[in-house]
Amino acid sequence: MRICHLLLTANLLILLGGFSLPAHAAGGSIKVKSVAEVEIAVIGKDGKKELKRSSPDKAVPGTEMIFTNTFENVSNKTASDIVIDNPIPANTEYRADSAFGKDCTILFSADGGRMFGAAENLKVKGADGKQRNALPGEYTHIRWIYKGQLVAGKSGEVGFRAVIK
Amino acid sequence: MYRSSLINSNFRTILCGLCCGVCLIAPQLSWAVGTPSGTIISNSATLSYVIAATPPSTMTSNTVSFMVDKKVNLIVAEVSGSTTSVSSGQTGAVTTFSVTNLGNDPQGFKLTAALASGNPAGAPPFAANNFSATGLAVFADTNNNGIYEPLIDTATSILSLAAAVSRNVFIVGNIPATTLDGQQSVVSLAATAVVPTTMAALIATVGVNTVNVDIVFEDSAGVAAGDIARDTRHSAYAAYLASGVSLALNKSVASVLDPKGTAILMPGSVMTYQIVAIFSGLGTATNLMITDPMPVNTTYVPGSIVVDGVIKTDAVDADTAQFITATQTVSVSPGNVAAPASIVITFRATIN
Repeated sequence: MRICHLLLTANLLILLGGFSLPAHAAGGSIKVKSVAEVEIAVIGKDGKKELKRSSPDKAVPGTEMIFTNTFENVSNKTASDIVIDNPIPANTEYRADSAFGKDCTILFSADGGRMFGAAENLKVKGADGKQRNALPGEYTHIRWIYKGQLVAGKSGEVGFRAVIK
Repeated sequence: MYRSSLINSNFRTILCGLCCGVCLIAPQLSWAVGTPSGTIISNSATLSYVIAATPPSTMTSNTVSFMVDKKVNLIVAEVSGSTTSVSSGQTGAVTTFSVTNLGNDPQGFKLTAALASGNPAGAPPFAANNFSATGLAVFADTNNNGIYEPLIDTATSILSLAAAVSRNVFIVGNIPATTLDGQQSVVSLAATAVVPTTMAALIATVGVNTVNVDIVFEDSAGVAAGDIARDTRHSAYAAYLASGVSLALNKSVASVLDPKGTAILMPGSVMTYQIVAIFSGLGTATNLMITDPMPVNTTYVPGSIVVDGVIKTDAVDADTAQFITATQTVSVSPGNVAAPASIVITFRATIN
C-alpha cells in the first residue's frame, strides 16, 4: 500500500513538475510556523460552555498558553527523520501531560536540551544531591520525533501548554 | 545545574509517565514571584529533516512573542486567627493584619479601618459584634516586626510593596469603659492596590489587547462593605474581645484616730489606710504583688496589716504579707487571682 501511494504521489509530482509556489523557494523544503494562543471559555449559541482559542490578550502570571508548531512539506520530495525541538519559553512552566503531536514520539529534557528522555525517566539532582524524577515544571525542552515520513504537501502539528510564571 | 539521565522506552510508557506527571503538578501551581509585567515571552521551534538522502537540513520557525501584562492582586488576612483580647477602658488596643501583594509588580496600598456593621457572617470567633471600638486608626508595620511601635509605625499607607511580599498592618482602637466581658467588636481592614508612591488609582485595561502592558485585576471579594472581586481591594475581619483581667487599685484613708480619741489629723494621729484591688474581666492575674511605701512623715504601726479581714504578721513568712523595714513598704502577694475578685488590704500608720 505504502509503495503504491508513494508511486502515485511521485506520478502526481511529475505531472505537476515545474510548478512551485514562491514560498517553497524562500522557506526551504519544510515550513515551520509557531503560534501562541490562550484558551477561553465562551458560551455558545446552544448555551453550552465551549473552549475557544485566541491570540494571547491579557497574559498575566498564571495564564496558560498553548504553543503550537505547524510544519508542512512544501517541497516536491518526501522528507524523513523529522525531529522538532522546542525549548520551553523563558518565564513559563511546562504544564504536565500537555505535549501533543500525532504520530510523534515525545521526549523531554531537564538539562537545557543536552539529554532527552521519556517523562518518567527524566531525572534531576535534588537539593539533597540525590537523583529524583524531574517535575514537569523543570523541563527545559520538548522533542517530537515524527514517526515515518512526511510526503510532499503533507503537514503536521505539534505543541504543548505552558503557564506563565 | 541539573543532570538528567536518559533511559529508552517506548511510546506507551511515555504516555503512562505523562499521566503520572499530573499528580506532580499540584505543588507547582503556586508561583513565588510572578514574571514582572513588560517581560517578553517568546517561542520558536527548530525542525530538522532529511530529503533524498542528503545531509540533514534544519529549519527554524518564526518567533512568536507576547508581553506579560500587569496582574493586580492582593490578600488581606488577620494574623492571629483568633480574637484580640482587650479590657474595658483600654486605649490603643492593637490588632494585626497582613497585606500580601499577589501581583507581579510592586504596588502601593491604601489602608482603611472600619467597624463591621451588624453581625458579620464570618466564621467564629468573629461572629458576634456587640460593642464598638472607637478612634480606629491604621498603621503599616514599617520594620515589619509584627509589633506596633507608635514612634516607628506612623505610616498610614504602604507606599510600595514588592511582588509576593507581605507587610503587617495594625488597627489601633480604644475600648469603651462600658464594655462588658465577653463582648466583641468586629473591625475590618481594607487594602486597595494603587500606583506605588503616587498612590494614584489603578485602571484596568478594558477591551482588546494593547501592545503595551495591560492592567488586569484579579483580586477576590473581601468582607468589607462593597468589596467585590476585581476592584483592586481586599479586606478581612478582626475582633476585639473584652476578656482580659483588669485591675483597679483604690487607696483611701479609712479612718483617723488622734491622741485625744477624735479624728483630727495631727502628729500622733493614727491613720488606717485601705487599698481595694478589684479584678474584673475573665481570666487569672498571675504572680500578683501589691506594694505600698509608707507616706513621708508617717511611721508604720507594727502588726497592722489586715488582708480581707485576716491579720497578717510583718515577718517574711507564708502569710503572703510583710512589712519590709529597709524600704518602709507594705507588701502583699496574693499570687494568682482569678477574676472577678476583690482584695481589701488595710494597715495603719502614725503621723510623725
